[in-house]
Amino acid sequence: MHRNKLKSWAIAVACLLMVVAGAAGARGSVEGVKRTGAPAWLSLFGVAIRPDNTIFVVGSKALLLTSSDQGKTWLQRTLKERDGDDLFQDRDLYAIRFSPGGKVGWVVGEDGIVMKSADGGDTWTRQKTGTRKNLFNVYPVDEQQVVAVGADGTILRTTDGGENWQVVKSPKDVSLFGIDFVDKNTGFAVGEFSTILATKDGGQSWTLNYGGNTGDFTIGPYFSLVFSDADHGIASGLAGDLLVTADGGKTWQTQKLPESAGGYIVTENTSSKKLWVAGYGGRMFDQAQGGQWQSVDRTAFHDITDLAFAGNLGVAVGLNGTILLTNNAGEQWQAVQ
Amino acid sequence: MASSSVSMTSLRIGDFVLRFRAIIGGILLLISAIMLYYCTQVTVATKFDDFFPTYHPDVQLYQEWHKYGGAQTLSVMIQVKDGDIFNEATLQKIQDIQRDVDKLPGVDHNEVLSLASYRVSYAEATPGSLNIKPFMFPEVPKDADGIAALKKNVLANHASISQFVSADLKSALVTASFNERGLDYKTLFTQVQDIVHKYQDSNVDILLAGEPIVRGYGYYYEPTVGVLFLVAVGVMILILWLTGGQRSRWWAPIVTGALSAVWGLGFVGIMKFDFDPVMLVIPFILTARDMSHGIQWQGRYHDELDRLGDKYAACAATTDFMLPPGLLSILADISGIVFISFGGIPVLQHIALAGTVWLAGSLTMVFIFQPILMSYLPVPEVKHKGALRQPSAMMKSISNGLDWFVHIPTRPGLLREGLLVASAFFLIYGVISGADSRIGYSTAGTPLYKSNAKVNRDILAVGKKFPLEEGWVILITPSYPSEQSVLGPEVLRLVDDMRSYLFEDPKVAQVVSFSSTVTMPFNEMFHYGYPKYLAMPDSVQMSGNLWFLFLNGSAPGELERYISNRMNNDTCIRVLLKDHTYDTLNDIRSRIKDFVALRVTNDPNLNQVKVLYLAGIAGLYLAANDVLKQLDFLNITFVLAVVWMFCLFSFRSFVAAFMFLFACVLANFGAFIYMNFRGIGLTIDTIPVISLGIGLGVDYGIYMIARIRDEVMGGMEVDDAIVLALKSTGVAVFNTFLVMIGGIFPWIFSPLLFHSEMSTLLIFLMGTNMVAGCIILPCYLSWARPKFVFGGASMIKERELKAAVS
Repeated sequence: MHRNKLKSWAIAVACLLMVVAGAAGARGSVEGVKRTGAPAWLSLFGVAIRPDNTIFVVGSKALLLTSSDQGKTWLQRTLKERDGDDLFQDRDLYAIRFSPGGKVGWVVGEDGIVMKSADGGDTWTRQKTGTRKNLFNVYPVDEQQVVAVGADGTILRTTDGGENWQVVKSPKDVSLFGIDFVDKNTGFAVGEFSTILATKDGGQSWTLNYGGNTGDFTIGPYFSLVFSDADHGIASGLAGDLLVTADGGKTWQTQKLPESAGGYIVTENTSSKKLWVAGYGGRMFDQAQGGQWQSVDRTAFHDITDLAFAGNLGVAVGLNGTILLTNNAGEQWQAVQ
Repeated sequence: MASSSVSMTSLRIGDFVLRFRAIIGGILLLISAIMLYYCTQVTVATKFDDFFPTYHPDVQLYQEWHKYGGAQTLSVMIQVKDGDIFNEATLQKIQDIQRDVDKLPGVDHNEVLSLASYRVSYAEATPGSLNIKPFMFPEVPKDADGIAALKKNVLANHASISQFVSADLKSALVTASFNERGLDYKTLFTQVQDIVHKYQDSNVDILLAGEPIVRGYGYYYEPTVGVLFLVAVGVMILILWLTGGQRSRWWAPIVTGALSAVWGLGFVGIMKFDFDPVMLVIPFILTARDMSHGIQWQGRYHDELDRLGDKYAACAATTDFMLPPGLLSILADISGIVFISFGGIPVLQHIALAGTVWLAGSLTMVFIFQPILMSYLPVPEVKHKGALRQPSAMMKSISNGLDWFVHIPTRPGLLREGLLVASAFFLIYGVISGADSRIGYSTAGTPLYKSNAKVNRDILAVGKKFPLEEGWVILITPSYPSEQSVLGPEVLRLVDDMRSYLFEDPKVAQVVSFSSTVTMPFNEMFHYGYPKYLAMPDSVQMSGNLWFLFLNGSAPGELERYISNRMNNDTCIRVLLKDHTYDTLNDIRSRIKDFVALRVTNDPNLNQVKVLYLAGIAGLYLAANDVLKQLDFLNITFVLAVVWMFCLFSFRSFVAAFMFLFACVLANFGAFIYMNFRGIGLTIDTIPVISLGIGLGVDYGIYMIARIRDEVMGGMEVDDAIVLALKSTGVAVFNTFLVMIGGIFPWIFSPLLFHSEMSTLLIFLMGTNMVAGCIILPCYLSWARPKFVFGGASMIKERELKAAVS
């Protein structure tokens, strides 16, 4: 009897050890294909860097690339956005963002796809949003409150970490490409016809802040915007157009980049407080000491779609598998082959 | 001369031929005259279509969808040594070459593409509009700003122009498709060379690639090949003189050889087959073979003349003796070539048919016309010059060596048994190599020419920068506006998925389709050039709008490169490959097959979509590879079956039939060992030569064993019969071997690798056949003493019958 008891304990301990080892293994060994760069035939649309400097890139055909060694090696995965074989995971993923702590991640994409990771990007699950519109960008205000924008004035919002998503009415039926929040309540979104929408209630309602003249087809769109603080914000658009505010969005002034190139992403390196614009034909621009925009030597010729910084580490991604890396806050950029 | 114990034959054809010699000779000369006329009608040309099996689904698919362009693509690469192509002089050269290529004979004017073409364009988004602009048409930029702007456009749109400007910007490509039927490769080649010479300078190299150039080089080397032809003929005549020059009619085999060549070529003219200069080695083998039969006939005639002393009797007796083994031998030759017609590849069918007529001409000329000719000519004089001279010490030692050699089969011991064991191993190795034989091309260039030949160096250099081979996947769908038409988002998505899937294979250089090359970039441009719209349109209507935009913004005929009609119910996906090797082609086909099974077959959104593959030049090569694999097996099986049957019939013994079968395998499967060793694959060009080689050497053994058997039946001791056969028939076989080798040897020095490789292979095959026939088989006979030679009821009966006839 005593012997049997011992045996039972031994089996129980062994089982426990196996479960723990399995869980640890599952956590540490995310399956994927190891590579030194991105496949050149795929487009990369979004990049995010977690606080631990792990780089996440999303792209066409449900592509997710991750690097935990600052871009030296990459793990290619296909996010299961649909049932079936990997070949069926062919929807494009347009943006990836992590909550401020880096624990909860969000991916949005084609056909209304929203995916969430609650474990820092290891596993991802599809969210039910009720829309099939393309979602171009997402902004997690915190782990619970997230806003996504997309085609034809689509604005989605959740306040319970993705359990429920509400479709928020947009004052303009235009496609929205970029979104940023100044604080928990104040945010802006940009899109077609130079439209800038603003919210004061954390995305629950939106008002037209700038542009939006949908009758004039010669008016170009703005693709991206970023606020350095509550007052200072900048949006980048077609043909080198910039829109700048210094009063929290009350007024906007137009500016021009040194080249007439589309700026698909504008972002700030929060460490160096430097603004960056990147876009058409691999062009990148930063601000000189006096605040003037200047061209950065080109290391790629394909469109750059997104740009992210974490301290000195910076990553730009774009079409044709373009990945550019910097380890000195943008002093030099190097293309990942 | 060894004395023979066999003196009579039961055949009486010789008498018949001589009795009606005027009529028969007249008829044969009349036929020859007619054939001579048709010889003048032979056209030296290459028909591309003839190189591929007409019944193969890939070939039929290619022919059905020929509207998507030809498989005959010429690529002209302009490569600068210093700097890049973005300077006025080089850009002007690109435009000038584009224009000159457009003037080439047989060119499809809609398919001449380059940086300077009005069809090669990019789309540019500006607020409120979408502009489609050619990169460099109609003018070449003249100033620095214009050139810099062009360079920027090329760099920014490199994905859409990567087929025409290399990634390092040092090379540009002008490509052109040709109408295959009636394409004059010789003129085309000359004119393309003119372009090269016109535009090449110290900083710019012009390199060429593509099937028209590969075939055209055959004509380029024509003068050298002509010289080789004359040298080979000269060597054959020299050997003929050396082996038979002591007789005044030593040249008779040249007459019969020439006449059978007239028959063969005349048949080619009658049938209107084209004569490809690259294939010249095949008629040459046939002629050499013909002459070797003639030599054997002459040798026997001289023996009979010595024995009988009368010209007519000698002619008749020689015909009676030589016709049966000659018939057997030529039938074996014919069997070697006729079965290659089974593959359904027109060029092989032509070779098989013409080769059969040629060989049948040999039979008629050597064994029927030759006795008639000799009967009209005076008795050949014997020149005994030097015959009484004392043999030198060297000659004595050679004679001793030969004496030792001819006794190898009758001398039991390690050497004889060792030879048998070694040949058994060689046989097994040969069979393994045969099963393992490579199919198709194994290098990026063409195996027709040497790897360091200009054509191969060019192909390799162009292939490093631009894809050269193209396979087509055709989609057949319902018509627009069906969701499953070629403009339906799910169908477009399927095509783009296929592109991604194929790109996983590094052998794929580019995939060009309406989906990825037109719809997605147009969707992006339509939406301000915003990269996140480089995706499928969200509805079939939107897709239709983009199609309309492209149709209106592009050059006439440009849409038809992707979608053949306005119903939008078929489309062509072009898979550009880095090379055309067997592995590459097979990998791509199986990859597409896997993709269709995984992605298309079970998708209800695609249940009306039919995916057909693989057309284009890649499909044609694949078709040929498929057929060659089967044809090789079929051909060898039939040749061996024919040999087996003939030997069974001739020797009335299963043991004999199998013995010759194994001897044939032993001697000829060595070809596969050689080919595997040298990396030569079975292609449309190589298979007829190999096949012919198998048929050509079989009779060495047949002559030897027949002679041994005859002598044994005549009452001679076993070992003496073997030695005698080696000394008499062996010498004749060796002479034949020498003439064949003499004729084939000069081709080793041909600038065409194909000629060089094939002549080496044939010499190797002739050698193995001689060793098998003159050494291994006699060794086996002496060691195993099979009944069909050395005893048995039927044998004794036959011997008694022959004695009675005597």
